[in-house]
Amino acid sequence: MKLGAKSLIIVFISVTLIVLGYSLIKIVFFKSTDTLFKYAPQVKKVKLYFVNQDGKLQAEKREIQGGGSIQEDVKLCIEELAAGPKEKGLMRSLPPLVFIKGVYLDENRCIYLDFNKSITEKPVGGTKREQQMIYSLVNTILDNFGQLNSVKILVDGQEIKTLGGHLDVNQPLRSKKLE
Amino acid sequence: MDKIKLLLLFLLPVFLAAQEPQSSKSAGKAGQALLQKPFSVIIDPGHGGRDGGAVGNKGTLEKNVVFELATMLAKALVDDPDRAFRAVLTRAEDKFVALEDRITFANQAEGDIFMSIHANASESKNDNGFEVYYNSLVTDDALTNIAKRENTGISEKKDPQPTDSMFILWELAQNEFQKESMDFADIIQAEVETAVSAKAENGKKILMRNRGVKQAGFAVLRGVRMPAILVETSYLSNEADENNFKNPEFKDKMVRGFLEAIKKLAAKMDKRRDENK
Repeated sequence: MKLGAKSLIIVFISVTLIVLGYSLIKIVFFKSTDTLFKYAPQVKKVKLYFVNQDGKLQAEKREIQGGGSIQEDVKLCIEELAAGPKEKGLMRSLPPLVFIKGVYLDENRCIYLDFNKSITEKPVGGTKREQQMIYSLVNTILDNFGQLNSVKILVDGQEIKTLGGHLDVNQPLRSKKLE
Repeated sequence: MDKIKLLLLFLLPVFLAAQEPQSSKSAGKAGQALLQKPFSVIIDPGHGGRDGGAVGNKGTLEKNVVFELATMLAKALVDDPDRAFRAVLTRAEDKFVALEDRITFANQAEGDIFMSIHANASESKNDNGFEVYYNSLVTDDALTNIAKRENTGISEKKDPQPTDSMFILWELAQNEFQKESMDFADIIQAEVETAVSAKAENGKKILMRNRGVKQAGFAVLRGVRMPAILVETSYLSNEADENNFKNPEFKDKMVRGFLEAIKKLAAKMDKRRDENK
């Protein structure tokens, strides 16, 4: 066999191996990513952050009947948060009449929470109240779903600058303790 | 409509600046003050118009108390005998002004510093006191810890996520005024504490908690091209704090604290500029 033919066979085999290897990695990766965000429904223990007597965020542990995807579970958590605390001494962090309309996930593992307008119309003011509202949402989500990177708040499907005129929420948000 | 709004906003600084020469108490000091380039302070009373801001349990409205403090400070600045000040308010009346307009206005007015005045509120009635914020995109705990490590020069073998580092570098590049904003915040909280905690002639002392200096991503501070802070003067949701606003002495002392802080910062910035010449 000539040297040129040998080289061609080597190149062909190498390319085939690379393509096969890449396909295998892709299948494994997507399968594992998929199981992070889609799974069998099960009962879940979650921590919901409400406001305590000192104005700080405090977790209340609760069990929820989870859904089959991270979007469903996040929505369930927010609905529980909006319903208010059950533990004595804790206060609600979201204004009444606030409800979540939709939850979306992007490729950067940022979860989008789409609320109705009450979240911007009902707050009664104050930077601290705004912080309590924002970080009760963010800390609840990121504490319970480690596979997520950040949280973004939408109102009626639109990006917003602030909830009540103070803190910039027009960017992905991450956890913060309140002082 | 927006142009009219901005034009109206520009009229007030002209009016306030026009008072400068009349306000000096001593002729010598006035002459000295007039020789200096006026130090321009943009004062931003939070909220206004349909946006009342926080509401106290006794009905105190944030938009009203912060406007009163802002106008008192503007007057104190232009009346100051030691230094030539130009005071500019982002709203001259009880009117809604969008955050973007406040930022644009502040930049167009070419202020030396920007100070937004607010009153706070919490779901907890126990929350009280005043606090001073300067802006940072590094607002969450993970990024704050990274920033602290980077600032103290501690390096780790395992790097944080690339997006985190890029985020910080972008922020550092963006905010060239961060150091001066931090200085401003530190001086304000120290001077307000000194002024408010000073005993009155009758020996009484006003109680107010100093919650210190903090960082947060305030929309109104982002985009302002000058050292900028936001002062949360007190909690209207707290009974004692709300009562303080009914006491003229409290407001006088707070404004005195603001004035002293601005004077110290102006001197510091003048010195820094002279050194860089």
